[in-house]
Amino acid sequence: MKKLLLLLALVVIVASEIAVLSSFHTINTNNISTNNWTSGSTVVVISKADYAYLRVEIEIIPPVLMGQSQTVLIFPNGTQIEIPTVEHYTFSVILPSNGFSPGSFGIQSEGINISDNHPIDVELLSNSTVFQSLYSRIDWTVPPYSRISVYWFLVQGNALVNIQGYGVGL
Amino acid sequence: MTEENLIGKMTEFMTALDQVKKYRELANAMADFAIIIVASVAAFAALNIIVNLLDVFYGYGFIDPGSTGVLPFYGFVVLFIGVLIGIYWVQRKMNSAKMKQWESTLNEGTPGVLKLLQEIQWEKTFSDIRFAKLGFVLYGAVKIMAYWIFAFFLFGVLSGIIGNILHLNFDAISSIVIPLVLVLVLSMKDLRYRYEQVGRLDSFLWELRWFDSEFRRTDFKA
Repeated sequence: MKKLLLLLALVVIVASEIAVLSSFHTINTNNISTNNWTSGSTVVVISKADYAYLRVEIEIIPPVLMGQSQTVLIFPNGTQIEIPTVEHYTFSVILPSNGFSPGSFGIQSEGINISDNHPIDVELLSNSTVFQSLYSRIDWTVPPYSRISVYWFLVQGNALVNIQGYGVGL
Repeated sequence: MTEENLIGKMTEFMTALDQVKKYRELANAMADFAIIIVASVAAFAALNIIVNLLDVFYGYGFIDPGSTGVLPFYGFVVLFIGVLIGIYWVQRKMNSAKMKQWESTLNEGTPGVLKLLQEIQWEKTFSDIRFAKLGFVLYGAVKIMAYWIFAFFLFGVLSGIIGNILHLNFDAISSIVIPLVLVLVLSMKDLRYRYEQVGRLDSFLWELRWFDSEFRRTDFKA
């Protein structure tokens, strides 16, 4: 009897572990590939459900043109970084979890595609002005937008953008 | 029947009972085997969770965290060790069964044979044979299932390598069916042996029942 109880407990543990494993996600590969060529003004939109933790590793490789880089990163706070030609510029964006958030939801709009099945998302949009105007018009205090976190930055000029992102929604 | 013949028959009979004792231990160890296998699956899943957490929170990049269905090499090792420990544990339990304890009594000759026959608890022996039969069959099934789980993950690793080199991808059904067929083919000898052994245990049980009724009806005079 003790052995049967132990076996039952182990089966419950395995089932729970499988449930936990299902909460790990990679970024939506339907919308983005690992290596992306950008030109002009491209906006990289990183979004997640409030209960998810997201880590995105970004590598930007500018093309060398007459020995000068023409690639500039522009962040929402106004910071601008010119990427040196000989370097692979790498940085991480971490959007931490905002805690427990019951109830299901889903958002599908310009640059944001989040659902309970896929609570993390990264998208590249070639038309940055459409996104920026949409972003400024959204009321972020009202559901469902109050239940997501969004971070974005602009890549100005040509570059090879390598993006890898993974997260956990618990 | 000469005394020599009688002792020979009795040796055969007691050896068969020892085998039943062994199978009974096997039946008892089957639960342990299942526990060890499920525990190794739990250990693998726990390790997978830890690796995923390290990837997500510290960016170690051990594996692709979303691909939880893919078995990395460490998972293969954990399951392999689990199956090995399970088989070792069952063998140890089976070997712990005390064998040939009757040898010294049997050396006494005909009186020893009668003593042994009188000491046998027939109903318990019948029950032991039935239990041993069940354990013997179930252990075979559980062992095949364990091999199947192991083969499934091994196939996952191999198909990953094949996919990488030859750009061939196996679908989910092939990943389940191919390892199962492979394990069944490789276990065919064991399955046949088990089938025959169960038949032998059946005949043994019926012979014993007949012998028991004959033995009860006979009066022994000194």
